[in-house]
Amino acid sequence: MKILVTAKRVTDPDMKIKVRSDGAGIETSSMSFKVNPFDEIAIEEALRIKEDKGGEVIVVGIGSDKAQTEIRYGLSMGADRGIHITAGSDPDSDAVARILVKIVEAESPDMVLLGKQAIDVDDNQVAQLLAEYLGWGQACFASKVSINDNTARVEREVDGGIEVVDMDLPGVISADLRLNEPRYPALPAIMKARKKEIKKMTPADLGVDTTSKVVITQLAEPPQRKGGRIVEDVAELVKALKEEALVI
Amino acid sequence: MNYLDLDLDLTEEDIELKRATHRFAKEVMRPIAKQLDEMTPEQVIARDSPFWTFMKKAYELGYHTILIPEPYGGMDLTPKQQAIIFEELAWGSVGLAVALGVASFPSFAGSLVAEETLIEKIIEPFCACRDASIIGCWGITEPDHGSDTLLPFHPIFSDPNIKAQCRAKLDGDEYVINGQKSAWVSCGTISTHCALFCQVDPSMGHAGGAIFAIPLDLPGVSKGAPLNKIGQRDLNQGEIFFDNVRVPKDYLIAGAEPGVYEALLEITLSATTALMGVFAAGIARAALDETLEYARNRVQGGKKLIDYPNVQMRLFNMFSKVETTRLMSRAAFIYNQNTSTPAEEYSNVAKVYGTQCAFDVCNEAIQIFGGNGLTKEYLIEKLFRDARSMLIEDGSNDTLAIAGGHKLIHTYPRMD
Repeated sequence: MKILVTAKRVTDPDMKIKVRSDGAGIETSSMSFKVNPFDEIAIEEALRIKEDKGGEVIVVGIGSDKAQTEIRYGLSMGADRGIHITAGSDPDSDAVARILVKIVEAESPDMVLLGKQAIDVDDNQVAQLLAEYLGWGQACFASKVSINDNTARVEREVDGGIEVVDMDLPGVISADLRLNEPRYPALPAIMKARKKEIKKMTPADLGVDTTSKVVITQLAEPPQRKGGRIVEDVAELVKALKEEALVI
Repeated sequence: MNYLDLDLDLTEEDIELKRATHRFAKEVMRPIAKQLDEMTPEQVIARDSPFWTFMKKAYELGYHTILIPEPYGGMDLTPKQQAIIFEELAWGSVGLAVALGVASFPSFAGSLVAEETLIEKIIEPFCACRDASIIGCWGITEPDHGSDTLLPFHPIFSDPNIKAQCRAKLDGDEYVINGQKSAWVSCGTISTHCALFCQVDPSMGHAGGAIFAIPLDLPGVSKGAPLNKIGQRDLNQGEIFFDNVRVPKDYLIAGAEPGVYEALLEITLSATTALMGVFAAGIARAALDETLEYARNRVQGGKKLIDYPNVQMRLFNMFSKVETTRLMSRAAFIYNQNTSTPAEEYSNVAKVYGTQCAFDVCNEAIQIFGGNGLTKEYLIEKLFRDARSMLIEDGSNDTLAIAGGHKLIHTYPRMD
């Protein structure tokens, strides 16, 4: 089983983000970065499938030179090799999907496993766009994946229960939070990861135009929360809900 | 929290090791250390204790073999990488970092001479272990002899009037060991193997010692109760008793010949003492991180603590101590790991200076936290107690300063 997984470089979700003064992005100078947690779950799942069925796991990352760190992290977890598409800034979801199409055409994997969304912009679009462009089946928000020859049975968490999807392979699967608990890279694996290949390419090499279809016009901090207060009685509560909270 | 390494020569691999270890320290070590800190010493090592969750995870990921060279099953880590990893582990918990460090001690000591029996019976099985079923300890301290057992080439080290409390005697092809090692042996009551530093020739005092790597399932070995103590409560410590324990000669690492014991002890101490300085950098940084975070949010007198110049100055002084501790201890550790004639006094500076800095930083942190710093609600209270232990642990700072001074007057200036 040959599996393509993604590793996006995102800001550390444990750190507070600050909007840049021009509102066009966030301050990145004192931020630490890590691999998108949902991608990490996807990598873990790919490794478990490989450990069970054999095959190869390829980690793809798109972004600046530094995005290589996150690809390397995937290799430290146990993936076999990496592909780094160098891009000055993060392309939008559609461009990412079109880049992945080209890589899929070159590598012919049995499956593409991605995080359901990146925790920086939370767009949640790449898996769906990719499946559509490829004409493959898609099973998004997977909470359980089992492989049987040329089909994948995927359990998806939906409102009120679990939906079970049987999908022909090759196909696209996106990982939800409860799919698995990713491993920590072992020290010997980190040492070995240094020797694994990361192939570098540009979107232009793949013939993909990454001009953004989505333009961020303004980012702003959410308004500061005001302190709460204790009301005397129900009448005052109803009045406050009506006149201040404007919810009834 | 990450930190800027004032080292432009860091490789990508160094950085990856630092990042991965930091994550392990933050996500696995911190929560477990906090739980263990509030348990009794017996609960800490009980079968269902989270201590074992930590140890198994650490072994699974290879953190027990950091100090062991690759040919024997360890890793091909540079001394700088070893220091980077150990600082992160100590940032997570200095007690658990010590537990991991001593776990490898029989193998670490064995790798200094690398005899075939030792490699096969001690080092390789330890490195291959992934479930923490093989745990080492360092049996050197005795009830009446603590830091003074760490003074190779000091005059009192050769005083035959100082009677050792643990002795080995050659009898045919075996050594017979009698006596005890004291309650300060880290991992003492849970270890399966001991790097035993004990006397073989009483006419030479402590200098007449030898080093063994001993399996502790031999008949005649027994252990004391786990020690209850102020800090590093997540670290098991306790006595080991030897009653006519017969050890095959193959388990002797070194020391039967005069002079060898002192030389090997000096090499060993040059590594371990500097490592305590590296640990100090980790815990001091942990305290600085906690304090910065607290001061950024805590409002007093109408503004945040960090907006007071007085607090900024104190944070700067804490930061200075963290950085100088790292630079000194890392440099001493790297130098002494890379040479066969170690400059031990530099390791003593790393430990004495570094642990004092760590304690000062934790102490100042509590002062900035105010009343909150005194409660168990905040990590800083644990860091303070853990750091306090370090001033005595692994050689009291007073004795190490005396040893360092003695070394200095005989060796200064050393040549490049």
